[in-house]
Amino acid sequence: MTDFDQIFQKYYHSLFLYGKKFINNENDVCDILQEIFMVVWENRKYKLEDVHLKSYLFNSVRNSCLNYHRHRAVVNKYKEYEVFNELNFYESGEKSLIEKEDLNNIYEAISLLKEDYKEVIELSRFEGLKNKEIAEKLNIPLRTVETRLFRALSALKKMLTQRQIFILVNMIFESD
Amino acid sequence: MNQKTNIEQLIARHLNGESTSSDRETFKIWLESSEENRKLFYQTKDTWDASVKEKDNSKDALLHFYKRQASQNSSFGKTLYLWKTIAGVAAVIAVVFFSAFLFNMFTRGEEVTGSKTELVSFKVPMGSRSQVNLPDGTNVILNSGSELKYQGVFTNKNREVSLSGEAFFMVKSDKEHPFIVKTSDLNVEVTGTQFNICSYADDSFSKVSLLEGKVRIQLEQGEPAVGIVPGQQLYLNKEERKYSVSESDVDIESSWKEGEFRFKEIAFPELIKRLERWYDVRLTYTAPQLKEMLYSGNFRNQESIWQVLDALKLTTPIDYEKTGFRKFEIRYKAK
Repeated sequence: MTDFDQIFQKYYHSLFLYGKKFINNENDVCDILQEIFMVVWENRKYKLEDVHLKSYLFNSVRNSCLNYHRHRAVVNKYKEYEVFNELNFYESGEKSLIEKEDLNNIYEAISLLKEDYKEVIELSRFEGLKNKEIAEKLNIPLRTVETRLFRALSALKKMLTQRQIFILVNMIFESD
Repeated sequence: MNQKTNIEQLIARHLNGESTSSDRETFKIWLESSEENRKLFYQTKDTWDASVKEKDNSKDALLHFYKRQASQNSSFGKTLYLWKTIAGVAAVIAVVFFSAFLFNMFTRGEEVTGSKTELVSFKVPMGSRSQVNLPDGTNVILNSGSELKYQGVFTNKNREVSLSGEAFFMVKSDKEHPFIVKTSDLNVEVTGTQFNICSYADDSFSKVSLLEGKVRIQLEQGEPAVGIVPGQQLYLNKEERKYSVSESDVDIESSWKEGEFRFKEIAFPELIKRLERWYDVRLTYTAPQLKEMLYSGNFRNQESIWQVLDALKLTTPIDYEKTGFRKFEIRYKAK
């Protein structure tokens, strides 16, 4: 595999999920990614050091999504507000979990949630059920589903932001 | 109804659909009313966004990318100048080969051809590793602080050993006569294969990682054995007697046999235990903050314990102090 292929496969899925935070339409997200990777290809950005490349890619997705909304005149006012707000929020220093974490870490954290919480996350996020459908499936009140879902997300957020990973890779020491 | 519960439900409804227009109105007012509310919502939404699981279609996307790239290139008449650079730079990694002198043959007990009742034991002290060749041609590398034992009648036909600690087995293939490794928590039965077992008495877990061949792991008497395939690991939580099988990097798991100390996202307490065995030192710590930390790294064992502790100090807010002969105390240092 070429460097480019490797970079593509390493980041495509995360970037796709990241783009979907801002844009609901999958095809539009794919188009944005195509353009970004075109630039990566043509300007040989894949020669960048991984950490720079990663922030370059995520920033590009974010900016492209911002432009996408700017150029779309027929956008629902409320949604526009929400998207801009979100972009501003992340611009102001907080980084998204998708950017910070390996997706495997996120799925692992989900698997560590307590059973009640894990259930609602899996049904909503993995299987795509709406709250009402989850309530019917589990035979519990809708309000309970909603409360659980919110608390599950809070628990997950806590697990993911408290974790610190220190990397001590390939230390080179002078010999005595 | 309590205000907080109400908002929790509103957020959940907003994220996973079907909020009514009056919900949206209330939600919008709440969101705009304070910076704190916005922060709470966006962090929750971020977690929501991150926890989605969808099919990873990056392979198809790559193909699609090349197709579109090709059609655009032909219309613009660009040349594929990239092929020149594709050969690119390759990182050269110096691989250090550890010669056999690292593994000092270490036998305790009498002659290997002992009587029937005699227990033959190979014991490796902390801080060193050792290699044992069994009479059937099986080769075993033992990690620090491990012990391999068998009753004096180990022959080509009766291949049964017991292990405490960590060992890498390269079992001589013999389909007729299975090779059995017993540990305090599980038994592993194989015919011809390469695998790593980690089962120290003072760890809360036992692990079996398979590099080649097939193994069957017996967890409870009378229960059916669990099989794993190369590249997988069985992890047993000793207290709960629960096990899981997952994909694992067997090269990392068994890197110790090449004299390397590699680890991937292990918790501080486990790192400390491994360092203690590897360097034959006692490390103590009390700060609860340390337990939260995960470490990945790669040491080659030429480093002294001082150098390893200094490396830890560079990345973690800790300090250490030598408190006695081969004893260190690690303290958490608030930033």
